[in-house]
Amino acid sequence: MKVGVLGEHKAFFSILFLVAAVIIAAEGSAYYYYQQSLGTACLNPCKGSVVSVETLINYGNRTSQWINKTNIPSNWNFYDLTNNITKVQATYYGPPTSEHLVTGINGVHSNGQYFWSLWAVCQKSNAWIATSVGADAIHFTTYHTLAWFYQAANSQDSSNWNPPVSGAAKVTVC
Amino acid sequence: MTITTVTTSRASVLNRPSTKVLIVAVFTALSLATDYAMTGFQNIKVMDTLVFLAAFLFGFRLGIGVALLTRFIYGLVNPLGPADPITLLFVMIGECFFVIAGAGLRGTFVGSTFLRGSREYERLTIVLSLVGLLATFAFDVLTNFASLLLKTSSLYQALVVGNIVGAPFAVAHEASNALFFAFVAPAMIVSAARLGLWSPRSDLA
Repeated sequence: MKVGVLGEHKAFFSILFLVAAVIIAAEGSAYYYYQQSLGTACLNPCKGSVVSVETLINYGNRTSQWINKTNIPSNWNFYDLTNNITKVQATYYGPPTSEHLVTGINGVHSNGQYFWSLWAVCQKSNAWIATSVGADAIHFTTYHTLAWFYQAANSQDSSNWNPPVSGAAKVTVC
Repeated sequence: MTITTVTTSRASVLNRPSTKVLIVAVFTALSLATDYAMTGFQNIKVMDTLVFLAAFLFGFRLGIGVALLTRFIYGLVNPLGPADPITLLFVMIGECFFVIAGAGLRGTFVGSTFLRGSREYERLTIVLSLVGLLATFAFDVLTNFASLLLKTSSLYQALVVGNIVGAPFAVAHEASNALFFAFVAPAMIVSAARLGLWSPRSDLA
């Protein structure tokens, strides 16, 4: 009787399928947890409430503006807020990332090494930190002062970037 | 008139240092070209499949050469700006997982079954797809960890938070690589075998 590849290497295939199942379960759980954390950033007690958020838009040419909004629905993310207070140009990436890449704010567009970097004030250290996630993933449970800073960067390493307020303290860990 | 016949076997040609350099250069160029062409697709790259194939077809050392060179150049000359040294180091190490997978599968029943021309391609396709998934998962876990290594207060936090925040990107990377390994890799292995560029026993390493 002819035995196929599957029959000849049962142990190999079994282990491979088992490991793949573990990987899919682990990655699926991480993705689910990530999506849940986005949807439940505002827990039940805060649903329907509003928050105050200060946003700095620094255009990089010594022009900047502070926008203080006091009536932001607490289930908004920072992209929603930016879209509300400025004229945003962005590229949307659908699932699984489901995020916006902000390419322009109020007519100032990414150009060569110049791009819009995203910052927040870490309340614990009272210093600016370049966020490690995009605007869609920022809810107002952690940060209440945020900034968009148009600057040139010659590296993806955010520790080399300048904070949005000249001379202000900057941290890499919040 | 004297006619001299020089017979050179394919194996000896493939074993020449110049040929090895050529193979690394061609695979690196292919990987980089596809990387730049697919810049608009986040975390979807044919590069990993090509690195795997280089190791599967031509051995561990050539695979390592392609992996390190490709990642080094792509890390420095990147449309999003050069990577920081820590990230660059980790993605170079991570890319070696595809080399280990390719070199590990080479010489096993997978290669000989392809050569035999059996009708079990679909099962081998599943093997390649799952091996691709495994190597990509290892790469993503390592690089997501590295991305938050200097931004969190503990290694554990970097591992957990990095892999949760990076999950959407990892899902895109792993799903696309599982498809590339299932459809691109078998076609290239069969083509290489038919062109006489590869046999499971030919070892350049």
